[in-house]
Amino acid sequence: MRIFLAVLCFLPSLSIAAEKVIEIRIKDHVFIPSKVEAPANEVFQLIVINEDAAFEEFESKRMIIEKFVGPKKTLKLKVGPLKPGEYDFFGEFHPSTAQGILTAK
Amino acid sequence: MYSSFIIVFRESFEAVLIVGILSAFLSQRHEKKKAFQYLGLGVAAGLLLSVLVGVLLWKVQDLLEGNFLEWFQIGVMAVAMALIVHMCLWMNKHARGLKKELEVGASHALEKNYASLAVLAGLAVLREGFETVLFLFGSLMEAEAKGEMGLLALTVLAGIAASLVLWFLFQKGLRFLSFKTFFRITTVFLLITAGSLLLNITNHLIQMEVLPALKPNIWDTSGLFNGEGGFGKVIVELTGYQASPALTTVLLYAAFWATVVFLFKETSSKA
Repeated sequence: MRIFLAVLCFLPSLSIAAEKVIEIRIKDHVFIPSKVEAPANEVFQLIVINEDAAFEEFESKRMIIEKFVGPKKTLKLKVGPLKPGEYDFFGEFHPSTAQGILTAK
Repeated sequence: MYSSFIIVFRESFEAVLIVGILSAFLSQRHEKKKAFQYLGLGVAAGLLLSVLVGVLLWKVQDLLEGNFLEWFQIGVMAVAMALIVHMCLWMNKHARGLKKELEVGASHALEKNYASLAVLAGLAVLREGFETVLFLFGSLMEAEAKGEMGLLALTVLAGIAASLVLWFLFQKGLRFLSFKTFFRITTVFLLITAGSLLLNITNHLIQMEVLPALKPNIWDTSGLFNGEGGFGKVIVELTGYQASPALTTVLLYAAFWATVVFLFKETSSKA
């Protein structure tokens, strides 16, 4: 088991050359845009720019993301590959307003 | 403001359950006052550390840029996971000899574990506690701008009160159960919690590209259960359920349960 875990740790991670970049801004606890499209079945970069003065936690259960974004900070995430479909995401600290959907096509 | 209430309540939910279980276990065993003092000490330390970590992250936001916060969270979760498994194993071993131990009037064995009890309670509070503090800093600034400080204070207090009510109901509810049933249910609950911590750790490591996903989305059960709705969310929160996990996640989760079952068999046969 231990050896297996050790091997897991040292396996090189996959990297794909030209990733698509998708940008989302947070302003007044709302995602702009709140609906985004992303390529399905490939890794892409998701950039979340927090323009608010408050902390936010960018979260998506289906995309398996849970990450803090500080005030006026930018978060860069590698996401995917996703199967075609809709993936909801939200700001955990302001879930009543910060809601969005990413469509993988 | 409604969301402030929900967040404070939800973030304290898991900590309340874990501390509640530990405290219920201690009172079932008629443990000495000292045990509860350790537990209280752990909770107090957890609260204090939550504020300290929250202030640190607020002041030194560059810590968020690197992976400092990630590793901190992973560290907290890993230790909490290990301690939960350790406590469950320990409870399993001693639940059997409980009657005998009570007759002899000896609970020396537990005394040695007071410290880990305190650490576990502290980490349970810290895990969600510092997030709450970060959230509250933001809300505080906004409330100040809008002149709603009183309202914010009120909702925060209501959130804390709600989690205390939950704890109270939890303790009352458990009185109807026999010790054996209580013990079984809580052990399973705690182990599921430890498993969800492992899932969370794995997610972070995959996201940070420390661990490879091996094969993402090996299945998709979102048709069966997508974790929506109030009840669904609670289940997802407690179990760490993922509709479409990576192969690495599944392997590690399976390894976790295999290890737990093995350890339980081992300690049971020795007892």
